[in-house]
Formats: sequence, C-alpha cells, structure tokens
Amino acid sequence: MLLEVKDLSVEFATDEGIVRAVDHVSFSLAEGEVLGIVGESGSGKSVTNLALMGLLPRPPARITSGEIFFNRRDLLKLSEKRLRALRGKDISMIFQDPFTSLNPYLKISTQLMEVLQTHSSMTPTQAKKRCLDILDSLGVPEPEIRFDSYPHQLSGGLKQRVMIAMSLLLEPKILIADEPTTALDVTIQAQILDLLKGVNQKHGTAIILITHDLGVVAGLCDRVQVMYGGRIAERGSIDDIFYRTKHPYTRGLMESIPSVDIEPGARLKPIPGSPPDLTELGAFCAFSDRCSKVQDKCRTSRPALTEAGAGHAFECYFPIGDSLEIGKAAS
Amino acid sequence: MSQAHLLEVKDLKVHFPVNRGGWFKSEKRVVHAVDGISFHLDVGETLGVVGESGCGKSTTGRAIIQLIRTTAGSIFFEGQDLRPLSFKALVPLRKKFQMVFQNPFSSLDPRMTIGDILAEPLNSLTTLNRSQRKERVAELLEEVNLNPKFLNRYPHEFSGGQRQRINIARALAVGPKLIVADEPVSALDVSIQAQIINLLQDLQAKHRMALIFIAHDLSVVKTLSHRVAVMYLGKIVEINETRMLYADPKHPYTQALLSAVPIPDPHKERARKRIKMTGETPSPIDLPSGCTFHPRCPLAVDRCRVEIPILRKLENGSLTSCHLAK
Repeated sequence: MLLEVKDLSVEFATDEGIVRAVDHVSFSLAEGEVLGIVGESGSGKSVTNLALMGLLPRPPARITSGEIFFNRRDLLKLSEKRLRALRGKDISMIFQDPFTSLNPYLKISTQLMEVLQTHSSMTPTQAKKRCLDILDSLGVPEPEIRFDSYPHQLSGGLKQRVMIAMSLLLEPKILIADEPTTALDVTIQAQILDLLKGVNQKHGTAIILITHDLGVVAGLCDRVQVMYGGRIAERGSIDDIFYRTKHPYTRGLMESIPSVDIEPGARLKPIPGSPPDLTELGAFCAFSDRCSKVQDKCRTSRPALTEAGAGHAFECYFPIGDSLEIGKAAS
Repeated sequence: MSQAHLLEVKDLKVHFPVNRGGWFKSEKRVVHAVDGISFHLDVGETLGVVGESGCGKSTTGRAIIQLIRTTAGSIFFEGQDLRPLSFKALVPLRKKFQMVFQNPFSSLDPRMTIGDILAEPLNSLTTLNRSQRKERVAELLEEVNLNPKFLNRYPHEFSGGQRQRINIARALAVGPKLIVADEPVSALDVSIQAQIINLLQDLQAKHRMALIFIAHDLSVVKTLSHRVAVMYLGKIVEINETRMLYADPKHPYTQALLSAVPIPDPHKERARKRIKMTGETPSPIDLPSGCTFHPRCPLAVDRCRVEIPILRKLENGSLTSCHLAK
C-alpha cells in the first residue's frame, strides 16, 4: 500500500464544545489508484486530507488517535522540516478554489518556479523549461504568455490548470484534489476531469478525489468511500457503491440528486433533516435522525463496520438488500 | 405584444461601460452582459435559464426585476413596459415580482429577526396592519415548512437550507405573480437541494406563480422547468420545451453543454462520448464576429465567422440561433 490511514481521529476545540470532525477513520490507497471521498459539508472529508498533508491548524485541531503511513513512515510523527520536504514532492494537493489559492501579487512564473527551486536542484533554465512543458501538456494555450501573467489575467479554468501544473511539477506519488471542479463551469469541469484522468493513466499518479458530486466520482474513481458525521458510512469499489449500495445514506444521496435523465416535473426524494451537529455525536448512528430504516437499536448503539464482500464494507444495522441491476442505478 | 403573456421581454440589452487604459487616454468600452434577448413567460410557467458564468443569466434576472438599469429593449409585465417607469412608479408593482438570491448566508440581514425579515416586504408593499402582518408571517413560515416559533430567532441560528426557505418565504410574502430565483440551490448540500427543489414545485403548483429559474446545473433546471433557455455571451442561443431541449438539442453549444454534465452512474458515464469544445468563453467586451460561438464551435464554417445568426424556429419546436441547425 502506498498510503495507509489507521484509526485517525481529529477534534477541534470550539466555543460550542469539542467538534469530532474525524472519528476513527481507516483507509488505504494503492499505487496508481483513484479513490473518491464523498460527503456533504461537515462529513470530515476535507479534514481527513488536511491531516494527511500535515496542514491542520493546531490548535484548534487535535489529532487524538491514529497513524498515517506513507513509505512505511508515520507522517504524524515527522518533524515539520521533514514534512515540508515531502509535501509537494511526494504528496501534493489541488485546492477547491482556484481564485484564492494563487498569490495575486506574484506572476505565475514566480509561483511555479518556487516549487522547483525549493525541492530540486534544477538550474533556472531547466526549471523554466519544465514549467513550460507541463503547462503545455495540460493544454494551456500559449504557455509562454501565461507563464508571464498574473493570476487575475487568467480565467478560472486556466487558474485551475496552473494549480494542477504546480502540483504535478515534482511528479508526486499522490495527488489530493479537494473539490477541484466545484468552482468551475460544466464544460471546464469536463476538461479538468479529463486532465486528471490523463495524469493518472500516463504517470500512474494515485489520486484522492474529494467531492460531493457523485457524477464526478462515477467517471473517475476506482474506489469510493462515503463519509458521514466524521465516519466512513460505506466504502467499496465504484460498482459496489453504485450498484450494490448497502448504506441508507449512500442510497439517499443517489436518490436525492437529479440526473439529466430525469423526467421534467418529477419529484425528487430528498433526505429529510440536515447534516448532524458534530458536537453532539455519541454512541449512536449519526445518520439515525434522517434514516428511513431507523430502529431503536440505531439510537442507542453505534453499528460496527461490516464486510459485505471483498473491500466492500458499511456501518449500518439495517443495510439495504441487494440493490439495483447494473446499468440502472439511481435515476 | 399580446396580452396573454405574463411577461414579455423584447430585445433586452444590458451593457456595462468599462474604462480601460491610462489616466489620460482612457478608452470607453462596454461589457455586453445581455445583448438583445427576447422571450415570454406565461402565468404559472417555469422558464429555466442556463449557461456558464458570464453568459448574462443573472443580469437578465436582475434586469427583469428592475434591480439594474437596462440599456435598450422592453420588459412588458402584464402588458405594461417596466423600463420607462420611475423608481417610485415601480414600487406598487414590486409586489407582483420578487426575487430569491443565491447565497443564503449574505441575503438575510444578520441583525434582523426572521419575523422582521419576513414582515419587511409586507410593511413596505402592503396595507396590512400589525396583527395581520404577524399572522401572515406565521402563515409564511408554515408554508415553507419552518416552525412558526422560529419568529424571534436570527439568521445565524439556521442552516443553509433553512435560510433558503426563509428567503423563499420572503419572496412569497406579498403574493407575487413572478419569482426570479437566481441559483437558489447551488450553495446547498446535495441532500438539502432536493428539499428546496420540491418546495419550489409545491409552492408553484399551489399559487400558480411563474418562475424564472436561473442555474448552471442542467439536471436541476430540467427537474423544475417547463421550458429552458440556453444563454451564451449575452444571447439566447436556444430555447425550447424542456423535454425536447434535453432529448434533441439543436444548437452545438447546447449539445456540448449537455454532453459535459457528469452522469451519476459509472457504466453510463464511462461509456458516453463528450462533445469537445475548444478554448474558453471569449470576453464579453470584444465579441467575436459573426456567430459569437464560432471560435469554440466544432462545426463552424466560413459563414459563421461573418454572418450573425438569428433565432429561427426548427421542426422540433426549438428556437435556435445557428446557421447549420436543422
């Protein structure tokens, strides 16, 4: 395994109490794999990955348990200096918002070259060539002009390409993409997703894709984990999640999103209620308040992770029986 | 102009002047945010307006509600042109058209209670007295499935979905005939989006109000709309009845847009083919010659570079502005 997260828990101390953002989460990532992490706001998907990158603000965040193994080293035990050497080089990240993640005062050239100057021994000429090559390979038109521009001179889609270029400069083994297309238009989203797919296929870069959009997951991921209330509600192969759904929350998510195949005027099936208050989680199923299959047991004890097949597991006492035929999911 | 339509927009233009260049030699230029659009809307009908950022869909919505100054054209509401009216003359009409904004966090005054927020339009646009207003506010909260006891709470005590319900209640307060909803669900979690979409459907059926639903999410628009208009660079490039627009899109831009929507089904998603557009939307300051879509169009021919296409009726009912569409 390239990356192994074991029993990770993250808490935040806030005025309202202790927020358990990530609650005993374990997962792994194989080389060249694309893992999707799906969840709504407050599900713990972003915090999990900030922990991986060692980017959690501490305090208020506190890692109360767990280990994160990368190359047989526990990232949580590394010094800041060692972590910095690893960030960007072995594991790099694309943030959600291309509009705020680039420094508006610095030219694209400065921001890209900085990565190479920090982490490699390239001469400035070599570094510039590498930057231009990578911009070109990501389909940035007239890379030399863009290289010399400021961020505000680029469109959202181009900015996101520059962000991706920056994260790929050092050929990382793992790329974490946190909602990489949420701020973009659909046609640009499609281009960026194709790009990520290409990076994965050509360079074997493993990708962790964090998103709330099941459509994006369907096109790109090999495996998916659905998070809810800081825990993994269900995880499995892409087919397990879409066609052999076990957890009522996963099913609820699929039924509540309209697809372009929907009949005009059709009724959607929303999940009632709203996501849980993370200060009030305890020894019960976090989804119990909103679940259609809830019983007393769900409110008094928390279900353990149950295996449904190779790699397919869920946390629910009353899972959904064998689901839909392949090709007929969620529409 | 026919009396039958609730709303009739004719050749509407909204241009924003921008200054470019140095302090001494500034050059007057304009952003063609909305550049000559025409459409109509009937009582109780929903028109979806889709397009990518910068296509002018939000500006169109705001122009109809008269929140921004328009440059040319006319907006007939119940047969009366709103454009020449003064701000004062518009006030009594405002209870007939209302707006729901995108961001549920910034569109409610954090210093006002929910009761005050909902009473405000009643106060300024109706003649209800204090006790009638109170009654109406309680009724509104119930209508959007919120507990009437929430009256004295402040916006920060509510989740995004609940705030959007309050926003909708505020728009409903004065009993409008038309509501313009600008991306009302895009800031919400997916499981909450469906709740709000269903609520809008219910309210519309109950009150028979017309709805202009502006969104970039084509699936959401399809669920709600009777007809859909697709905008590109300030113009409507295609407008048709919803089912037909999605089943048989005629404009190459509509086709490309639809083919880019991810499908939440792995087998279908991996099997389907995308129509690839090259490049990105050009600047609305320097519009391309001829058909504004030609630099990105996979089908463009010489004629598209010189001759501006106009909307014309096609066999499947679509109004499309493309020289090649059949």
